[in-house]
Amino acid sequence: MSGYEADFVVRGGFGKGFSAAQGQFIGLIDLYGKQAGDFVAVCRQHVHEALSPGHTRRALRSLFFKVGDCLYSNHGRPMFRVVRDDAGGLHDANVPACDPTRYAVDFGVEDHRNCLENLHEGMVSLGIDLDTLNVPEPFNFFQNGPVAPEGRMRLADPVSRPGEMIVLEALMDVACALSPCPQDIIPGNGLVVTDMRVIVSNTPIAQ
Amino acid sequence: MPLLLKHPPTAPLPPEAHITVRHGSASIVRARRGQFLRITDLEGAQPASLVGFVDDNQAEFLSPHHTRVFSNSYVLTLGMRMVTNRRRPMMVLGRDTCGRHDLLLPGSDRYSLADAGLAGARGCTEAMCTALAEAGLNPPKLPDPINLFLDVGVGLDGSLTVGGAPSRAGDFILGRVIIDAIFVVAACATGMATGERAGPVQADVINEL
Repeated sequence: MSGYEADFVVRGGFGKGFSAAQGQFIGLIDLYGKQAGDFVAVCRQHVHEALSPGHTRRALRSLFFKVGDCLYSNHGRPMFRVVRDDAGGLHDANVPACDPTRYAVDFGVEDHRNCLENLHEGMVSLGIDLDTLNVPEPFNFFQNGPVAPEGRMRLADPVSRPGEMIVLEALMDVACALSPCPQDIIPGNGLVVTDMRVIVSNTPIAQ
Repeated sequence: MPLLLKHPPTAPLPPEAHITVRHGSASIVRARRGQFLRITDLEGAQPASLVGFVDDNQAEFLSPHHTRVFSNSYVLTLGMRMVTNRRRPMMVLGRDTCGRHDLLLPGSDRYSLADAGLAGARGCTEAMCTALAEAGLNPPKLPDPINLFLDVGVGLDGSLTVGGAPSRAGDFILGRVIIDAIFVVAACATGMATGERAGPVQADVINEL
């Protein structure tokens, strides 16, 4: 065994909840490459405090983060510190989680698996009492969201290679959920949905 | 001038409404499908924040995040559909004399304003919660606002540059309302725009242009 506090695989297109204590390290690994993982987190002690892409953008004055930056909560407090990023900052914090209307309205597909419900299920599995409406906005790790001229969003697949990892240090006790995105219609996961691995460790992850 | 439907509704549009939102506060603005919502910076350099709920289902609301992705744009531009969290257009930006608005940053609150050196100032979040409570409304969530008249430049490297408050006195946005809605309009400090002033904002629901 790895000796980590937790080490498991999340099936592509499905969701999983997990917890980390303040000071622990969370490793999120794109096992097969080109797979975006939607990630949300709330503070264990008061679940209305949630990881917030918007507050992080305001604090960093950027759509993107780099190693050493913190990710902030909707109370303006640092919630995670980015301690390692094999993807070199190519992550998205702009696109809302795909939900039933993403597939039904934009692509004419009913009953598709989706990140919003995956993340909700993950949170509920940890005893976090929230409805789908209050699932926080996600960070979409490994998702590629380039900026084109005139403030346009350019659609692109991730460029992550198999085994790339991002490591977050938890700065408070957190309940988290990860959903390797089930998007298999529009560029986002290379049209092929694959598994991700999650590690929770008491010490920095150095593999 | 209601929507030019083949089978027009028999009931006329509701009366127009003209509401001045004083600085540091927010007001409830109800508008029906087919009406126009116009939001004006009366004195200049005063950003306005806008949220909106579907009238008969407040779990559906205007979403800056879904609005960006619906049009593949980090910024709000003329003709864009301002959509809900269910990806339905609530309003379409039809006129805009300012051209600088923000879809990316959260509304101010007393903590962010204190961090910005405005201790004791009332943020958009508190002002909107107060306005909703005073109107007897209790939506399940206060969504992130669209920050009108807030100049946030998006660089090709993802950098966000908050400039000066861009609006001059009288600058406005106007949109055709598509879904019966309860809007909340706030005129608060953002703590971000350099040179922003503490002025009022005018919200008008109008039937004729």
